[in-house]
Amino acid sequence: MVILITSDNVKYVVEKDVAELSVLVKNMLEDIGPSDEPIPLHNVTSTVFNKVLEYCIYHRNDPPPSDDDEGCASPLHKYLASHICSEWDQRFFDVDQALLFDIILAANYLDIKTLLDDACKAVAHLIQGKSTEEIRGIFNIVNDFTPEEEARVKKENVSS
Amino acid sequence: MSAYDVASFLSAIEELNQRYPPLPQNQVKDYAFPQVPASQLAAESTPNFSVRDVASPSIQQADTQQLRVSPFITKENEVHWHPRPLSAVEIEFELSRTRWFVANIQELYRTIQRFGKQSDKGKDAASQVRLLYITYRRYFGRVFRINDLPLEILVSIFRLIADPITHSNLDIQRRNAITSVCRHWRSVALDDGTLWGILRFSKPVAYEQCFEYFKRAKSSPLTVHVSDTPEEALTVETARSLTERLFTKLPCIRVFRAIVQQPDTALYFMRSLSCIGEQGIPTIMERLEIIQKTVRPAAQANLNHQPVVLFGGAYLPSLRHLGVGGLPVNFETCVLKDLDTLELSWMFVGDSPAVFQSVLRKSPNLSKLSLDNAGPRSPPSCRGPAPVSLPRLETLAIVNYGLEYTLFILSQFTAPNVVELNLCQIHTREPSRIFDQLVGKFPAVKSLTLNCFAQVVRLEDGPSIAQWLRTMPLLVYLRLVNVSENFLLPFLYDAKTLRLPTSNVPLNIKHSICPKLKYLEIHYSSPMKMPTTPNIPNWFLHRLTLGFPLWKCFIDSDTLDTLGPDKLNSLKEALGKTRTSLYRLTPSDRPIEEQHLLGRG
Repeated sequence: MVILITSDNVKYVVEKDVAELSVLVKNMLEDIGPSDEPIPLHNVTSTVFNKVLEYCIYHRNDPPPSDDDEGCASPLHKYLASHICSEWDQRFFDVDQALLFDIILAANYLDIKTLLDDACKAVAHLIQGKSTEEIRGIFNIVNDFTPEEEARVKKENVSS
Repeated sequence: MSAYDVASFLSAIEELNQRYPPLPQNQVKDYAFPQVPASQLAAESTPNFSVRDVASPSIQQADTQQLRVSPFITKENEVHWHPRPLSAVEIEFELSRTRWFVANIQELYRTIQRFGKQSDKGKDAASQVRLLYITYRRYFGRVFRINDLPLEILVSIFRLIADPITHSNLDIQRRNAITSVCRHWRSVALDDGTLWGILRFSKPVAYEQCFEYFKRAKSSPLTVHVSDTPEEALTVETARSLTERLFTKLPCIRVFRAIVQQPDTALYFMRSLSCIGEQGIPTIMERLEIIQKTVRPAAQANLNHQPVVLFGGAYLPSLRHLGVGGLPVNFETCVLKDLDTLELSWMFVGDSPAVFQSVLRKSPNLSKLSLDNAGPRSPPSCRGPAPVSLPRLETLAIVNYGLEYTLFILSQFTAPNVVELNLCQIHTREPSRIFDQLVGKFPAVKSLTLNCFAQVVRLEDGPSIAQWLRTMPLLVYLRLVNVSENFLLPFLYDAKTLRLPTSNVPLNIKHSICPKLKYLEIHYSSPMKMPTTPNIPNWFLHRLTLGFPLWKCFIDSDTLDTLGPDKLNSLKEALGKTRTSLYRLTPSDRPIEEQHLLGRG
C-alpha cells in the first residue's frame, strides 16, 4: 500500500498498482525505495483526487499505453483508434467545467497518460468538425484578430 | 446538490431571465438521436430477414461520435450565441446549471440501473438522459477555461481535432478552423510542427499549400503522399521540382508513398532516393511505397530498365514497410532486412529463387506479404531449396499467377500462422492441384478470400477441396468473389469420409468441415452472375442441418440487384429458416465482424 497526501491534507491509502498508474508517483516510489513515508501531491486537491482515483481503480488492469514515437501525433491516434470510450469512460467525464479542467491538470501533473488522453478527447469532441465561428461560440472565444489579420488568415485558408 | 447550490442556481436563473430572455424551447428539434449500428441490432435482437446495410467501422465510429458531439451544440444555438466576456454571475450560473444537469443525469442512470434498460421506466429514463445531455453539452464549453490549459495540452487537443493521420480535405478544413479562432490558438497551432507533418500532394495547384504546411512542420516527422490522375499525370519534371524541395527534409520523412500513373515518374522517385546511400543521409523512413499504376503492358516494358538499387544500397534500420509496383528493383544488391510488411506487384524479385528466398529470409518477422504477379524471373521446374520459415506471417495475398507459378510460390515458404489468406486471380483449369498443395499449409486461417479463383471448380474436385478445408478448422469468415458455387459443396462433407453424409442429421464436430464458419460474403461481377439455382439457399439449410449454421451472409449491392424478386425471396426464406441475417454490402465495405476477428476492430 502507498500513502498519498493531497494539497488539502487528506490522506489516502492506495494499492501500489493503482498508485503506480501515475508515473510521477511511480518514480517517487522508486526514488525513495521501501518506505512508509507518505507521498505529497502538492498540486491536487482531494476533490479532484477522488475522481482521479476512481479512474485509476477502474483502469488498473488496462494494458499500459505505448510510449513509442513520443512527441508526434501518431501514438495518440493509435491509442484513440484502438480505444473507443466505454460507457463508463463517457460517464466519468460527466462533471462540471471546473472539475474537468482540474482533472486535466491533475492528470498532467501526476503523469497519467490515459486519463489525460481521455480528458483531452472529451474536450476535442466538443470541437471536432466545427467551423471557426462555431468553435468560438462553443468556447466563448472572442475573435481578437484585426481585420487585416483576419483577411490574411482567410486568404491563406482559401488557397487550400 | 447542496442547499447553497440550489439557491445560487435559482437566483442566477432569475437574474439572467430578466437580462436575457430564455431561448425558445424548440431548439432540441434539430437533434437526431444516434442510430444503433446495424450489426449491433443484429447481435442484440432476433434477426429479421430483410436485407440490411452492413455496418462498417466508419459507420460505427460516426455513431459513437454523434452520440457525444451532435447533442452538444445545435446550429440554432451557435447562431444565437455571440462570444463575449462573461460576468461572475453568468459564470456561476453556467457552473450551477452544469452541476444540476450532472446530478440529474446520475439520478436517471440510477433509475435505469434499478429498473433495467428494457423496462418502461428504464426506457423513459434513457430518453430523458439523452435530452439532458443535449442541453448539458450545449452549454458546457462556454465556461470551460480552454485557453488557460497548458500549451502542451491544448496542442494535444488540436491534434485530436485535426486528425493528421487521415489528412483528408476535411482534416485540412479542421486545421484551418483551428488556426482561425483567435491569436492564441493560431500561435499554438502554428508552433506545433506535428500538426502539419502529413502532406498530400495530389493536385499541383495545391502544392504551395502543402509546402506551407511543410514549412510549418519544421523538423517533425513527415508523412508524404504523392498521387495523380490519368487526366493529370505527374511528369518527371514536376516530380523533380517536388523532390528538390521535399528532400531538403529527407531525414525527417517517415513515410513516403508515391502512387503515380507514369512509369518514368515512379522510377524517378525511386532513383532519387538513392541519394540516401550515395550521400550517407541519415533517415527515419519506416515506410516506402512507390507504385506505378499504368496499364500492365507498359509496366512490363518498364521492367526492362536498369534495375534500381533501393536507397543506393544503404541499409535503413527503421524501414518496416516496403511496397513496390511495376518497377525494376535490383534485389541482389539491396539491403532489406527486418521488414514487417512486403507488398510487391508486377515485378521480378531477383533472377533466381535463391534471391527471392533471401529477401524473405532476411525478414523473419514478416507479418504481411502480398505478391501480385511478383516473383523470381525464372522459377525452376523443380522445387529448389527448402522453404523459408515465416512464423509471424499473419496476412498473405497471392495474386495474378498461373498454376505452375502459384505452386512454385507456395513452395517457397512456410507460414503456419497465417490468419488472413487471399488467393486472387489464379488462372488455372486444374484448381485441384493447388488445393492439394494447400492441404495443411495454413492451419490457422480465420478469414479466407477467394477472388476469381476456382471459377472452374467441378463437382469431382469436391474431395480435394474438402481435404484442404478440413485442415483449416478455425475458418470463420469466407469471402467468395466470382467463385463457382461448386466450391461451397465440400463444406457439407463429412471430414472423415470426404463425401456427403449419408444421413441428414447433425455431424459430430470431428466430422465437420470448418465448424467455426459463421460469415459468408458473396460477390459476383460480369461476366459471372450469382447462380439462380437453389444451391446457395439450400447450402445454408444444409449447414444448419449439420449443426453448423451461419450467422450472417453479406452480399454486395450489385450482386443482390441481379437477383430477381423470386430468387431473392427464396434466399431470404432459406436464411430465415437458418436464422442467418442477410446484409447488403456497399462497395469497399469490409464488415466489422471480419475486422474484429482479425483483431483490427
